[in-house]
Amino acid sequence: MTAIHIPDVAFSDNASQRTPCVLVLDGSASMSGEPIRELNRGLGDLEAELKNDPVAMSRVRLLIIRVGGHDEVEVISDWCDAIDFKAPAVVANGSTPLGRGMALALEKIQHQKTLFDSNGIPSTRPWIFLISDGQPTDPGWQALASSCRDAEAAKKVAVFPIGTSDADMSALAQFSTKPPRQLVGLQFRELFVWLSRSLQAASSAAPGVNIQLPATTGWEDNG
Amino acid sequence: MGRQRLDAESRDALQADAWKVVAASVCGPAHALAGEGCGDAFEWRSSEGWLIAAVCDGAGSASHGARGASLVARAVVDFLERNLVVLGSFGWDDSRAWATAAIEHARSVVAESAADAGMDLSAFDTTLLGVAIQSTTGAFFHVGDGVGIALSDGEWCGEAISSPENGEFVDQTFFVTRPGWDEHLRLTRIPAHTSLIALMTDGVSPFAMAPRLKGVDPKFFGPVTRFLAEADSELGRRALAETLSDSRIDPISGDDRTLFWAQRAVVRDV
Repeated sequence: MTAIHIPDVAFSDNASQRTPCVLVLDGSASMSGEPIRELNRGLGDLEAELKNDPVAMSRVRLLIIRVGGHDEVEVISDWCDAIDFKAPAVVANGSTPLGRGMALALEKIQHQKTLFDSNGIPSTRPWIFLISDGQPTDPGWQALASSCRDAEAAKKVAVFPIGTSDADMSALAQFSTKPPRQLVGLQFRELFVWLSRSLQAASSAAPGVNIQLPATTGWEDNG
Repeated sequence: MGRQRLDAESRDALQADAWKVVAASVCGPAHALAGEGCGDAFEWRSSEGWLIAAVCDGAGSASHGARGASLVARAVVDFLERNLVVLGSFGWDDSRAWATAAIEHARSVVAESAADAGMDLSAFDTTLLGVAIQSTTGAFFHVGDGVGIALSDGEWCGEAISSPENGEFVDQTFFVTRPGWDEHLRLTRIPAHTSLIALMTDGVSPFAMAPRLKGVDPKFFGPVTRFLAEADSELGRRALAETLSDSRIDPISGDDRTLFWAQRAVVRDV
């Protein structure tokens, strides 16, 4: 039976839905050397993978926060669509103010959501990935971690803490209602490929469908 | 719900309002790649001036979402055909009552299947978008996402639009299979002069609807309507299914795609 196409049909993407994602990256001194090199290579992979996906490139919005230095929390890549994303170079020095980093992530997400709403742009639930090889060093981080859990419980955000083998997993666990995940070795590149594929799934997801994340084999240590 | 028989004159008059219906449901690439079947389902009847239809989108997160969609679509349409067609006409004020009764019936049908499978009703999660319309009035009834739109001749802005209800975010919606579904049941009145009805799942609305759901996108809907209006039903169905399978859609939506299209053959003054 021959195929019959309706002639002259055009398909426009009128949904314009966005998938916001914030990465909170540990740029403290303990990440110096091979870990930070692998992390940065992973960010490059994330950029390439997202730009290679026709849905994700226009729907995923990224913001990257680095924590390090003298208890510094800085946005090293502000909100942009994946198609415009340029992987930043994360430097490693100083302390690990993860609590303030996550608080800034929540603030940025709230601001972005307000902008979406005022412009009538639908969005999927934002994701925050917290990646560290250590533990929070900022005073009062526990209260800020509690805010993250509250936001997640209220379904305002999904938080994914990920630690290397040296990370304080019990501290990372306090930032999410879900258990943290542990990286195998320095498999940052595998992690970021997984992240990009997860974002691809989220950005093309239909309303009401829980995202089926790809398997984490390749980077997660399931002990 | 009360019933009355139509007298012969009313029945003949209503038959003048025949509907031409073309509908298709295809598996989106996301489900096809995963080796899963289509999670959408639709069912419709057109008789004695009535058009009754339901389009359901089974939740991908539910193990039996596709089955839930199929059961709910059929049960709702069966129920309304049995009860509305013999009623002859209905007032807008009654619409919530009959939509609620139809959904309660569908939930009882799903509950039987769930009990047989030893599962909770939520394993059959599905949305529901339906329409019941005859010569004088009509209504969309809707729980969850998808879009229903009623158009008048030559117009691409909706006379009536039943929009998706999502949670705070677009990837959250509501299901008829969950407790509290009645709080999310929305009724939208359809004007009598409506000449075209479309129901679509969220795999179709991103390209079939204009931005912000202001109406349909004429670049898609114009050619589709012109073709389906001229084609016989089988040719129309095959062409619609082929069109919904077009790979150009894949970058827009990986989800299953269902479009129900119905055009009134004769529009009468009422």
